[in-house]
Amino acid sequence: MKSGLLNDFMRAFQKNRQATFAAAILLGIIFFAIFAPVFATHNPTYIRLAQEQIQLPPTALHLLGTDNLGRDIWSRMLFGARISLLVGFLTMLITIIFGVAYGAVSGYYGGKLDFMMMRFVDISLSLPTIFLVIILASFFKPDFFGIAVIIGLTSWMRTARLVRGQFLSLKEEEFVTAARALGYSDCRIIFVHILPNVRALIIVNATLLVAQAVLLESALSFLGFGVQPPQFSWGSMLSASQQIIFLEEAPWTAFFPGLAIFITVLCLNFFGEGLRDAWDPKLKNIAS
Amino acid sequence: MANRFLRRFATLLLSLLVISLLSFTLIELSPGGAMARYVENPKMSEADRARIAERFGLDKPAPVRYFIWLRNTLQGDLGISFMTGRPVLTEILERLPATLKLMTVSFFISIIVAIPIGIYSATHRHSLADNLASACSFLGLSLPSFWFGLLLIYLFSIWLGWLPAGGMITPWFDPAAYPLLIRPFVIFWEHTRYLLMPAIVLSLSNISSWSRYMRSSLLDVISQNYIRTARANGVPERKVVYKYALRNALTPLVTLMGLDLPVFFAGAVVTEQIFAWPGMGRLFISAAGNRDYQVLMGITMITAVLVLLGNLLADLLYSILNPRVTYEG
Repeated sequence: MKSGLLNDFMRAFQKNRQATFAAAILLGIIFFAIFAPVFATHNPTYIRLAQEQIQLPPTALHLLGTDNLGRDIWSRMLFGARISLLVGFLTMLITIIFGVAYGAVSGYYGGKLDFMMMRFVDISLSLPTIFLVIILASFFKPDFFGIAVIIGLTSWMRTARLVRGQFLSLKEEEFVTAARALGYSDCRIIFVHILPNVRALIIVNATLLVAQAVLLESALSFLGFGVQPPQFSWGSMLSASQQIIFLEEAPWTAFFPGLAIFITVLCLNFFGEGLRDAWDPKLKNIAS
Repeated sequence: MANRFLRRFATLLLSLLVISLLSFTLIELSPGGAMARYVENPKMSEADRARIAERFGLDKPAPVRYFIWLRNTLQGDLGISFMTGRPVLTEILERLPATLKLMTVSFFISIIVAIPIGIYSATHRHSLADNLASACSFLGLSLPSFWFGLLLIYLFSIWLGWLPAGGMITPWFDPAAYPLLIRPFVIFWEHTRYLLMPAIVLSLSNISSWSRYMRSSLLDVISQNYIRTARANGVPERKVVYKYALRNALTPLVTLMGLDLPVFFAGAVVTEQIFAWPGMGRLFISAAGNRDYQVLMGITMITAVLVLLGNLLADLLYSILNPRVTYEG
């Protein structure tokens, strides 16, 4: 037991080193996103259509070059980070709020209600929700907040299931019986007494949800159904490169935003895994 | 057993009803609703719009229209595309084979790559190859598929010029132009070179998650008592892994494959768009751009049917691989 514990701790620490590194990079990205106007060298939406200003390769003037409309890619990366990260974060919040509430109610009350609610989760999980997301995005033409709502409303199911499982076992604990005996309302027992015990699980899940949301939003924006101009995210910066001619003439237009998405998602995943391992190695097998 | 699948089938029908109701309601609630395609057109008068609405039966109240749609769909009529004026079902059936081709090939690539990696990782735990596989799967899960696709296109189509950047087959490809002896190889290569990059992009996330899952599932099984008994009886390690453990380790993977189907279809939509693959996903994207609601509803329903049938198949396979399974819930 003792050596095992020490071993676990050492391993968690080692994993955590990666997670710390990932967290540092993430903080850097967030810092650049917040202070985007400071680091931007050009107006990110300013279009220069003159032949000698479009699709310039990276130079000292345009650090990462210009895209097919002559816009400065470095500046767009900075401002695009704001939307990408914001949508990721908002989506996570919506998913967590909805998923946790749903899972908590289902797990806490149990019985028939739980059965019905979980059947609905099963059905929702087996549906190809990407089609609903694209339908919604094409008909409503949402802004970044709308995108977050749309993605959030179609990805809460796994969180609900995770939380429900925890509530099912936690509600049998003595402290819940004690709280009931004291006459506290169900609402208070759920949120004040039981929920804090699920905190670690929720935070780990939330980190991984941000990663998934950033990926999904960028894919949506890449397809043209995400944030609409003049707003833009990293995903929409790649959109023009669907045309092979733009990809051929200016590969850097597609390369840098994609790299940013990749690194951000990778760091979020590392960070989430690190949190999970450090907090509770038992959680390892729980799918996110 | 029969009872079990009867219940599964009832759930399937219920799921289909839920998704049809959901997508119908979503379109209904959106600004412009089913007429969204025409609402923003400044060249159209109110009278034109009213005429179109009447012609397509869009002037009736929404619940009535839902039941009309449901009745028609049950009779195999998914309506008319606003874009082309052709029946939606015909349009979808034209595109479906391409999507199924891409997905089938990608599915088999995923299995052929993921399962051996998973087995090797589990049997050589914490070896260099295991750690490498683990790192690669982590990278694979974080890699945006569209970016990966564009990188492949840039590398193999633009820079090296080895593979075509998009499409499914050269329009003027004529196998008769080649001598009979090499003709099969030419046909095979013609299909393969178009299929290679899209199939790899679509397999990426499956390989990443399935190989990890295979590893942990096999490790779970290997730690069980009957495996220890087999080893204690002197059964060779190879036989222990492949004869006794593998079968039981594969069963949960089958379930995961079923659960991953919606994600797989989502991946197909993005992949088809990148590689100009003339499949259903690409049709869906263009229909969404044009807000062609009948096509959108049709594709959503067809995909839902395919996903749910896939789940049913996974369930069936599961009970064949694991006869002990009893059905609850």
